[in-house]
Amino acid sequence: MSVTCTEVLKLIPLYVDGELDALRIDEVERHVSDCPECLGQLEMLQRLSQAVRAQYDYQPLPDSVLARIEAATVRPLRAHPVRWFVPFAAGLAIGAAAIWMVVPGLVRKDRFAQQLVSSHVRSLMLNNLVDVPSSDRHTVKPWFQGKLSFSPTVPDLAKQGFPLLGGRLEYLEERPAAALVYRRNRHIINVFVTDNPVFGLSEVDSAGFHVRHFRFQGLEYWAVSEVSEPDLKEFEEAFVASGA
Amino acid sequence: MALSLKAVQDAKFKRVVMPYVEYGFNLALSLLQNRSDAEDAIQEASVKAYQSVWQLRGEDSRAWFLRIVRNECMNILRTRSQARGKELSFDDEIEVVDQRTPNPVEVAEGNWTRAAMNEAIGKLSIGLREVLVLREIEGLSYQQIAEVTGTPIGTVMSRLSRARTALLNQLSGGETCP
Ligand SMILES: [Zn+2]
Repeated sequence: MSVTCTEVLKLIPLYVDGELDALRIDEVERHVSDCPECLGQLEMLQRLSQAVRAQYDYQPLPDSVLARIEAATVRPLRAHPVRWFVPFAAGLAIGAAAIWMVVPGLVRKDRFAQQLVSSHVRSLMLNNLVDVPSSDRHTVKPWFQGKLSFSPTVPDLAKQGFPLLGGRLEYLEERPAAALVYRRNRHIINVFVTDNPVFGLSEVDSAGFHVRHFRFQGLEYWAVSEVSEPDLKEFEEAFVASGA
Repeated sequence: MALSLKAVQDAKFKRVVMPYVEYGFNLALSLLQNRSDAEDAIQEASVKAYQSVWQLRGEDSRAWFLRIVRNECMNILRTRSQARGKELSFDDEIEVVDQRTPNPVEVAEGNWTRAAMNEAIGKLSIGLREVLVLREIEGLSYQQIAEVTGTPIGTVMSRLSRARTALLNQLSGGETCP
């Protein structure tokens, strides 16, 4: 055994928090596979971490507070109040391009990643998150039939903490694509699905958004969200594990 | 097709800050443990973020915004403790934390309820509760937590570890610290 229990016990919190590199992850996993004491510690911390997330008294932002914030910041001076995403919607297509040009440092070299993030943001802003609102995979999956030349996998991930909200049709690189919409707490995860294998990107961060790419059963999947990186990784793992 | 600066500022704020306002609200709730104070803090922090959104240059906007929220909460807490004639203290040494080593078997058998969990989190001192919430609920990395709280990463790790130990002891043993 190359690492001692003392060393592993120090690594376990970092393992649970997704702070270790692949080499260290491997060390920890090999050690706990035949050390019941360290495995016990690891399972205990993992259970606590999951329980805190699942049971935490997370509060949605009240509409009244959101309205106050909008009024104090972005709301244009108008006689009639409008939801903040409505005026924004019109300007977004131009706006998104313009912002990337105006603000240095936000420019992403990867045009495709930019397209994914824009689609994600647009889906949040325009309130057109789903064309087929349903938490039932047996409703969402057939809805794409006849609209796409392929059939995306739509796993039910509610038990893993990612309830399905529905799906919608998207266009990526001028080809129809599926967007599957999941939720983690109050945050949206868009999963874009195409049968177009030309893009090799794996993980991209863009101004607070994370993008993860995975290939599954012959199709290309990109998960885009503002949830944390470990959460998005967890989502990908849950998706692949239960999507079969 | 000229965009006014205000339009770009609005668009940027919506894109890089708005997605995190609800996270910020929950951070404020956990720090202040008072709904109306948390509403004030998130509003004030949002206005400050809006005014300085130009300073963001492709850096991590979530950590940036949460730091603003956190500072706002600290101002409120400072005012509160001044009103009570006490200094706001973050000193770890004065925190009484139950540091018995939790027993994995007790933990595995324990049936943790939602109420017990939230009560246990609420009992943590602010310094410990803050890192726990930033890690588990806000999903930040150690490095991001260090940036938000302005503490070294080693302190983040030790506080997180002590927060978890205290939670485990509360949840499994039911023995509470004084
Ligand atoms: Zn061991």
